[in-house]
Amino acid sequence: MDSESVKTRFLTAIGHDMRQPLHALLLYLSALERRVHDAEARDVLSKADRAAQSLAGMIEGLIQLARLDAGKIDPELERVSLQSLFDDLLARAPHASAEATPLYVHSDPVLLETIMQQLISNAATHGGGKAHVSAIEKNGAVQIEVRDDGPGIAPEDQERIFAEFVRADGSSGNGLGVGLTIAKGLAELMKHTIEVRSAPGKGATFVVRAERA
Amino acid sequence: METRPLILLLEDHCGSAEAMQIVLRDWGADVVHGADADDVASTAGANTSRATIIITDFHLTDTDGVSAAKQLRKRAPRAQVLVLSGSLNNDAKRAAKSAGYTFMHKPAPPRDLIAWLERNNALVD
Repeated sequence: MDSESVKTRFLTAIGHDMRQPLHALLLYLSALERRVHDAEARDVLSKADRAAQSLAGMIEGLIQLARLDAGKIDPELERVSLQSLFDDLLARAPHASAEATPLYVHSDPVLLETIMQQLISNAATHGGGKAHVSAIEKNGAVQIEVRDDGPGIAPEDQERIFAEFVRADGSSGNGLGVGLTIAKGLAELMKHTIEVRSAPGKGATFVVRAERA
Repeated sequence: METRPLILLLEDHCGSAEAMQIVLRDWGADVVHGADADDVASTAGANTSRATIIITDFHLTDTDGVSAAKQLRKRAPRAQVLVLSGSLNNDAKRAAKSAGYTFMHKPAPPRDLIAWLERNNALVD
């Protein structure tokens, strides 16, 4: 077995087996938070909760990356309403806003939602916290955009940020640096494209291009 | 007298089931837990019809959570359904969406879970 296969199987196994106890852990911490009234203890609990959630996000990222590497994702393309997609995204991302849109694209709704979640999460972590989502039609295709008001990305980093385990700011903070790799990999599977437009100090706009439906 | 909402919980992983019940009861619900639809319906008895929420894991021992929820909804037609899964593929999410049910990945942040409960409780009220 080559080293890539070993990596994929290892990541898949640990990811899957870790999910159930981690799910239980997050719920137990939440239950404990309701029962603890001492301010200092609540602060400790809150830190434990954030650490567990961060771990959960990393495991999710590793699983998705492993599945992409293993070629285990088969897109099922259909007509997808971007308004429905935006509504679903906003329900889970309070830091995001979206413009109403009548547009539809030819895409896999599950995978497209994952791409958008990764881009919104990237905006939250590295893009100043807020994300604005919109869609326009251009040259017969649909451009779905996720804009943030963060520090921006230098031109020399704009390709590099899509590579595995890379953060343009070089930080060792939240996440593994795989979210954009996953977004790009899923986009390419569906013959969409993904790119970033940015300049230092001027935020960043990630653009997913898909066929109009 | 105010009645607590009744949640039917289908989960065959012991740790997740116990933790989930604590969180759901803290939120203010009565919870009937079982490893499959028959188990839950049998424990809930005549109360099954007053359930307003069904929460199910996708990978149950003998069936999938979406089929189990459909079975339970015949006796609890008002119930909104949340499907949870730690599955590595998208089968669970697709099945849930196709049935019109809400889907969340495991581990689901308790905050998201509570927000979903609040939204659905408001709809029922």
